Amino acid sequence: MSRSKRARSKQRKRVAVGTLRNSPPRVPLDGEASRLGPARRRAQIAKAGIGVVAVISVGASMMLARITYAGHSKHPVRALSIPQPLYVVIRQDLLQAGILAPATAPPDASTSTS
Amino acid sequence: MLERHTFRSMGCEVVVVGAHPSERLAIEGLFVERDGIFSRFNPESELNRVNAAAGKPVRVSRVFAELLGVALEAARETAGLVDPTLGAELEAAGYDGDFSSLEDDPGPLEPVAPRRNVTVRLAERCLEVPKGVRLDLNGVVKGRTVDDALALIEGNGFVSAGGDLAARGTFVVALPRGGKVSLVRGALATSGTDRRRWLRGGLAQHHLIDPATGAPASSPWEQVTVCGSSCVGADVAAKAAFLLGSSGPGWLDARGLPGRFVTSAGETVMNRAWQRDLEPTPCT
Repeated sequence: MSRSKRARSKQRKRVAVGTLRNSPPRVPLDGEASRLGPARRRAQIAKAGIGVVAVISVGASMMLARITYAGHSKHPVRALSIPQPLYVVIRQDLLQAGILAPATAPPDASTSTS
Repeated sequence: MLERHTFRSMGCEVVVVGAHPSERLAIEGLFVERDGIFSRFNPESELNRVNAAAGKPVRVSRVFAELLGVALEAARETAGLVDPTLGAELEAAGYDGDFSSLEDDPGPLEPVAPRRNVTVRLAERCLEVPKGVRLDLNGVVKGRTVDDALALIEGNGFVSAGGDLAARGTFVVALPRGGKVSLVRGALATSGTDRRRWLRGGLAQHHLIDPATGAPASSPWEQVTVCGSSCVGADVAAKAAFLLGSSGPGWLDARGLPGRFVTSAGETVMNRAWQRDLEPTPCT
């Protein structure tokens, strides 16, 4: 590109930027203003919808994690205890009868009272 | 003829029959160890350390945890009649020293606090006893020690301590207040008020505390003898039957336990299970 062409191109760009910088604020036309209001409302409704969906998603995820995660208790906490059949065996063992018979010889032993 | 050996422990004479010298030593050591752990009258005992720490969790020895577990099971089995948490009530009745050193005291009785529900927490070897509660495991400890001592004898023989006797092999046993019976299998235990009794404020006291009142129980029986498969079970059943009074024989029958009851007048009552065992076997 020649020096003169480059200078003309720079000048055209400078004129274009100056036009944009110095131009007054754009006043919407009548038709445009009537479309902006409903558009803003739709945007607000969409934002609120996205927020509600996000809150519900987070809550649902937490619930799901609580239900399915192995580290969380899913039932009311119960004290650990021995299995019931074993418990019955222990009980029977403590209060179980011995065997007596009529004495037919002199005593080998005697008991007192405790 | 089986060898006989006697020594004193747990406030009574212990008789060991049928044990070799090494077994006798082991049995004597067992009694000394248990007495050292569970004596209320030895300030250095583990029981007194636990009682002093009431209200705070403490770590107890394996033996202590095991025998306390048996005592709590006995309390459950007898619906709280044989209760290991009556140490304070026993001391309030005046049983605050070795029985041989107890003297009648004309002074008034110590007031007994009303009984409340007591929860003893025992998890493995961690124990928590509520503040103000004192444990006394004497009955359970003696009965269980007699059972454990018999297990140390290889052949036939028996071990007797106070009113508790456990045997392997058939032995004829003389009963308190007369009579004898052949013990074929298991153990005999007698609980009563004819030996361990004293006066406080002019009132007769004894060591069988009624958990409902916290005071020495009033019962129509002076002695109750029970035959059980183990000495500790027989001792627990004898105490419960004593405390139940007139319904004691039926309570033992419901569990198939032979029981013999003696009133202070000397009258003897035998429950159905005892009578059934002593019926002569018809010859075939």
